[in-house]
Amino acid sequence: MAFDPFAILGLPRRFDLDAAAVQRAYLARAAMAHPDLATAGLDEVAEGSAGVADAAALNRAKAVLDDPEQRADALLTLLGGPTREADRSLPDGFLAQIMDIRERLDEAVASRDGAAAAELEAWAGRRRAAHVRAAAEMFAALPERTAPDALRAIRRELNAWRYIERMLEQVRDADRM
Amino acid sequence: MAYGPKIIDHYENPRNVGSFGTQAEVKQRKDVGVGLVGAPECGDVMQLQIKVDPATGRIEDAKFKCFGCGSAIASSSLATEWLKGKTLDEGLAIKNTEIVQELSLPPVKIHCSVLAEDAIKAAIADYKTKNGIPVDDHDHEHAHR
Repeated sequence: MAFDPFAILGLPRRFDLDAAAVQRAYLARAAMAHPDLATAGLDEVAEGSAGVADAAALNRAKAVLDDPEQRADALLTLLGGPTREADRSLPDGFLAQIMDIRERLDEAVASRDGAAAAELEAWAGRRRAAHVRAAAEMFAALPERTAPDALRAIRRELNAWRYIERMLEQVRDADRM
Repeated sequence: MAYGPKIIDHYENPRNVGSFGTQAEVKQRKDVGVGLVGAPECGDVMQLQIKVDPATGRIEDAKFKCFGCGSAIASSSLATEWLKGKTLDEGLAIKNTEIVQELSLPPVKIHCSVLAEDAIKAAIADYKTKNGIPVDDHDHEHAHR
């Protein structure tokens, strides 16, 4: 069975989840899963049951739902959409654009041009925000019976989003060094 | 787990980093083939360029740029080394599994070697297209995972 962070935390399968609701659901279940309190025995904690998942699964579910990109990816998979491995499509010209931006960032860092680097980082931040908005709209527009075309369009959106997150991850890692 | 000495060497001293000109310049150059690929699993992006000697049909030089993890950088660095001196057909014969073996890549990093093989195929296909050489279907096939 696929990992379902929404079911583990007892939350509806939707993209626009309230961070506070995720936190409340997590705390309520974490308290129940605590070994000092979970005296009811393992029978009621069986996987796939309405019982409480173990602490590791709860933590993993919360981490996925707290991150908009991972949440979108999990939701798309649960709705029957293609995985990243199955559908690698990207918007036209996207790879060339991201390559160009990454090269410019590299040059800015190498020449210690802080202003140029900050500008490119800000660009990535704006792209991330745009992807969050686009994903919210695309998930909200899904019909009851999810059309394959709509799911493929979301996959393409999320694939591009991954490159933006990767850029931001690497900028962050470089800052730490 | 620990990485092997070869992968660390290629990561710390990557060979043949760079390009034969800007995107616009290499687009015009018929002796240069460009392969631009990405890994949607992680968001890594890799560009590999080959410079072919028109007289011999051999790849005389190769360069790469990779924005990704150490394994992706090492895989593309190794690919550029292997490509030099090869014919296009010999270049197409490079398999990602050979890169995995040479660098002792762990299973979670196999997709990095796949990316390098895809970049080789894309660069050779680009060179062929620019020079009116028919591109075989298998040139576009994805590497084996």
